[in-house]
Amino acid sequence: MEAIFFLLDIIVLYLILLWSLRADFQPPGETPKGVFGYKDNPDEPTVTARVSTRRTPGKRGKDGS
Amino acid sequence: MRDLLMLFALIGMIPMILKKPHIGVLLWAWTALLGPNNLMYGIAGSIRYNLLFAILTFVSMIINREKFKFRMGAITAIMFLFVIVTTISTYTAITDAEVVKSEWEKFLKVVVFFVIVGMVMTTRLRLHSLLLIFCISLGFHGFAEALKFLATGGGHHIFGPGKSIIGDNNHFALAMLMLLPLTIYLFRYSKEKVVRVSLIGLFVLLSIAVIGTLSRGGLLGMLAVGGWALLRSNKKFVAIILLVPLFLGLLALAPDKWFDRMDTIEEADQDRSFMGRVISWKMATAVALDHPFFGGGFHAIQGDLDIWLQYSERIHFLDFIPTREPDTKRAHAAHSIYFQVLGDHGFLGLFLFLLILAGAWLNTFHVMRHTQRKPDLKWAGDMAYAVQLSLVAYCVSGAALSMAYFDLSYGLIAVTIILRRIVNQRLATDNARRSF
Repeated sequence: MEAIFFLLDIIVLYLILLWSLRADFQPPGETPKGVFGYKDNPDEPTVTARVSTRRTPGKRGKDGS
Repeated sequence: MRDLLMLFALIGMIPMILKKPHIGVLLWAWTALLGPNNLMYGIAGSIRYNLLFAILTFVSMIINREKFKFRMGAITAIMFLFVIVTTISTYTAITDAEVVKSEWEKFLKVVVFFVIVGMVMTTRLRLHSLLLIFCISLGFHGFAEALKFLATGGGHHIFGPGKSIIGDNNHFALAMLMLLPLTIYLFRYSKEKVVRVSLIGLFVLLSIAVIGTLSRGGLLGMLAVGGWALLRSNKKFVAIILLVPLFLGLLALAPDKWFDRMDTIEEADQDRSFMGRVISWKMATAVALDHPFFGGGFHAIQGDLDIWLQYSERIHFLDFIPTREPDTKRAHAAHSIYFQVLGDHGFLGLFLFLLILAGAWLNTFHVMRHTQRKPDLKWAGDMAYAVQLSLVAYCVSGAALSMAYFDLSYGLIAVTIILRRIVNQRLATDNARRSF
């Protein structure tokens, strides 16, 4: 059990390190993106990492595709 | 398996540190608080990760193009004076036990970490990453122990990892309490749902871990943090609605033995464990009165049974606080961050230690006050508030625990210094713009 938790901890550690390393190269003032990205203000909406493949209604073609 | 995993992970970590020194600081914090060596049993368990990451961080700071400035602020200057006092107290210690020098070396490592954090972790991104690392390193133990507690229906008595500073159940409770406000800050500011859900889950498990230690100091610390949060909250009604069910929920999870243990708080003057602490405080006071400037050196009263016995005879001038006769079979710890520093480094050391804590406390107020009307710096005010709540837990629960040299507390003090610096730079820019 402890071994599984340790494995999880190292995976999360690695993700944080990679995110932090990548974000540190972003230009100053730009909010870091990625899974550990943070909000400028806590009232901003939360997002999910899922990538949507649905088209927005306004962008549909005339034939409805 | 764990050893192989760690060795593979290490291979990937080294180039990251050399690319950016703040990655080294993050790993340094992770090893200092998690103690990965206690979790491995093969070849990887013998590697001194802390030293390795510290050296790699220094190398990275040298080869990196970014300029890392050392700034001597008030708290850093006091910290250096405190180091001088601890150094003198080490060389004038009342005992020549090996433990004095080894504790001094451990403390120096904490101070080096404090200085490097102040030099390297200078941006919001780096501070945010550091708080995440605090949560996954110390939080790892809380997470695992709370799950064991739940799996056994409250039968598992939670202790920290063996040989570490948080090995004792009370120490462990304090460490978990200090993490709680940080998890809430990270929860509020994290963008991704998966991270937010994980953080709120961690918050609940850490709270359960505090209950599972059966620590009375943990309960007092929890009440102090909750009370302070309520006092400072602009939305007191909402805070009550959130805090009360959380507290009642935790009480519902607590086993009967937890209630039996907490009942003894009212009878502290008859409680053997508490009165043992009072004896230790008397001992520390007696040592400090004998050595007012530099104290008796690290582990002044607990390092040597002869010293303990010697001072057992000399605490009778404090008999106006009634206690039983001190233990004659073994020396005990100071059981208070304040009396620990008093006994170890005298009144001068205690004065400097209190100044450091007060300075950090004032930093958090300064940051909170100056970011109230600056929406783009709201995060700094909220982070300062989270650190302030952690420091409340440290100062209240720490009053009955020997954790004066705890890495996390010095890390958080360094965070307050950086936050103040960020806010001051911004204020200076605003003033310059206005005058232009």
